[in-house]
Amino acid sequence: MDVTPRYLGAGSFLSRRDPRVLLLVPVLYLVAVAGIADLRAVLLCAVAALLYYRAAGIPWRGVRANWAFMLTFTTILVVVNSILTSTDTRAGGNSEVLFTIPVTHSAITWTTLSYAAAVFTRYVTLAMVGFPVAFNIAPSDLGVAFARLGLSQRLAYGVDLTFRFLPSTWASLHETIDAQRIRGYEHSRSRNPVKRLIALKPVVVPVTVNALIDAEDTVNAMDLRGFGGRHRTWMRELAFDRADVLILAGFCAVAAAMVAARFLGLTGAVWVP
Amino acid sequence: MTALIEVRDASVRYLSTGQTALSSTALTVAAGELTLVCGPSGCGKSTLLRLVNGLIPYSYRAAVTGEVLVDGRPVAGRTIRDISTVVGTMLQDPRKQVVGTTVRSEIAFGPENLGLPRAEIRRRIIEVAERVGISHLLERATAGLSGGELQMVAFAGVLVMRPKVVVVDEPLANLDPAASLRLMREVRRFVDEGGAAVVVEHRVEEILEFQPSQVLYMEDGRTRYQGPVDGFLRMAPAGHVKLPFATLVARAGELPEVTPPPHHAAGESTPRLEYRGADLGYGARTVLSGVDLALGPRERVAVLGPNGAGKSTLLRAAVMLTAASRGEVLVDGAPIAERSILSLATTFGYVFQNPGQALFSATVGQELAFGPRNLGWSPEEIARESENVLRATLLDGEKDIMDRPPRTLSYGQQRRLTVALALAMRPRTLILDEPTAGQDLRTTTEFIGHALAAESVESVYFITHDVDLALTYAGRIIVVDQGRVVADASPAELARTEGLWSGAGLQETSLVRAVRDHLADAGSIPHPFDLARRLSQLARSNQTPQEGTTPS
Repeated sequence: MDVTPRYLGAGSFLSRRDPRVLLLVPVLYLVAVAGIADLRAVLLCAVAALLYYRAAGIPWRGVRANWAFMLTFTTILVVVNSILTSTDTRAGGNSEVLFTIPVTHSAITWTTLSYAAAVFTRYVTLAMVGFPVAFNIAPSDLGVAFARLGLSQRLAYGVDLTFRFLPSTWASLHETIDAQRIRGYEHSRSRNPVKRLIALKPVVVPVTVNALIDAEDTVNAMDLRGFGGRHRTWMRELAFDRADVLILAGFCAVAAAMVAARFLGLTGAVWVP
Repeated sequence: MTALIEVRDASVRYLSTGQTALSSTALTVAAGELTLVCGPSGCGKSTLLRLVNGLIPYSYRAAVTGEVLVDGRPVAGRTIRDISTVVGTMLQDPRKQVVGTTVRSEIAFGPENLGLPRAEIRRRIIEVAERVGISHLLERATAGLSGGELQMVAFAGVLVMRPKVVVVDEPLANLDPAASLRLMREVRRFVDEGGAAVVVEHRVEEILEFQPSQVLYMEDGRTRYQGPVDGFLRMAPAGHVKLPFATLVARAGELPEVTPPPHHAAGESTPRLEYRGADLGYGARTVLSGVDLALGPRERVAVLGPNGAGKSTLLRAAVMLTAASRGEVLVDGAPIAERSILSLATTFGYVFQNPGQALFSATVGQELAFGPRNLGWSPEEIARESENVLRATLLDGEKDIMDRPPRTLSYGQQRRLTVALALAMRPRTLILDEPTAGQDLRTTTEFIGHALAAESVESVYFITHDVDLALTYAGRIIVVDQGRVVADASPAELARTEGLWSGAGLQETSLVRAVRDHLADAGSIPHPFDLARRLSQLARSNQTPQEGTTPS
């Protein structure tokens, strides 16, 4: 498995944007869709998310596995939380039972299905606006983007370092697994989570200790190149252009409208056809 | 001329351990000087380096006496940031030094920290990238660079801050000779253009090629010699420092006796490890193609080649850490696919380069028991075997060794412990991956001696960048380059293959030249000390010079 950051959307409309836009849009979108139970309102937001995702130009082949994982995980989550347990029935109207789930005896109504669809759409569209953060921001732009959003220099560079050392830490993990496999180490097949955790010791201990030792060397290397001063120049210049401002304004408007609708009680109830 | 670095009667005691690492040391480095600092592991070289670049006392808690001046001003009271504009530091492992995700952002890191204007940073990046020949790499991700490229990028990241002095920690430790020497050529050029350099390195011979102005030789935290190269070559203990072969010949009378490790007589014909038209790699990535080799059950085989050429891939196939996508790999005549990784552990004991990757237990005893327990051995058998392997690796003399946490052992002892861990599973062949990287000659000799002398072990296959180590201890050398096996010969034959030494990441040493010039037979070669004695006697009897080379 390659854990090198993948800049899949290079050259697309979104990758030409100021990286701060790509970091702010998911936050605004989250504000917009949080707490909305009305499927129609979520679908309205989904249109904006879909357009945004299309603009990212992320090749399907590159993220097929990520989407497969995301959709599987979301489906399980929604089915368990919204259908099997029937947690939310905040609706009047049509509460006719369509069918009953055999083992859990949960009664499935239009309300249940509508709420499940709203939650599912909310999660999937959140992923749509989130994927460009992973695949449309050049790895070297992340640190400066966070710094310009007000994060401290050290924390912002920490983000850069995470991406820099992810591949080498992953390689170190594999090297350690290999070193232990030839001594007979195998992944535990026990169902007991404590036993499984203890069985990881031959891998986790060396990887952690080595990472700490390596980190000390890296911190020294950074100090020796003057890191940590009060004033730091970020070579990458960031400036919002008109398209950036329009995108942000658009998502701000969506967020504001949805928050207002929520306060007015227009989107809090589950929509039943 | 004002000295750029002046260390006056400095002593350093680490507060965490209470250990005095440096005693009454003096060093003066002026512009245009290249200083070589050498000595065995733990002699205080790294401490001196930390003193010069400001890490002591700012990052390491230590009591310092004496005085250290950088660019004419005492370091006391100055920040590392301030010192870093005068002293640039190259760490031993560039992978830990390079922090940028792309080459451009990596080189920009230092000037960004200094708060320089963007235009100035861009100008410096272009200037320094052209200087060290990495302009074509500027937009590349650092994670995808080769070891040699990474080292040049790290050096560019130091030069871009325009230091007056560069300190370089063991440039030859991690990379193939060709890549390391490219860096040293740049260091020499920096000095020739008015800078100064302090190079810390065990492998003295390779550095002498770059004409150091002075040598500081240290032992146990004290200066044993400081002065020109000639005097150093006359006093350096030959058993501790890797000296040019001509020096060994000149000092043949003082060389210590060496006991060659026992060698098992060949007899069986079925190869221990055989590759038949094998393509080896990881997943869809092929690293080595069309490998046809048969390694005998009683052979000592060295594998040489540049970083990333596929040396480790070749021998990892023996323990199924990589698989053949085409062709096949056989162990003792049977396809390896019929074996499990665990069952292979009793045939091959694979020792990884970094001991830290294996050590996880609370005590040495538990660490030694891990492998044998997985093989299903009884506690009595494990206890007996643990004692045997500790004796074989000379670790049994350490007080309460079985109850010691493995990480409290010295680095050299940890390396010997990893050999013990492999031996504890009673393998018939030992595979060593870079067994001596970054270690001094004495530790190297001890380590390889223990590995080769292990009683139950019939054969040893080892991967190395050290050409002289391969010539000295192997009966057969395989050279891997650009995904193929490019040479397979005895040490003497290989030394005579002249075309090989200009490529394949190898560097011709004075021992290679001596073997080529003075050994007529094609088999294995004697230990360099024995060869030097032999040539010296021959020279005396003929009254003609018989040296392999003379130091430059």
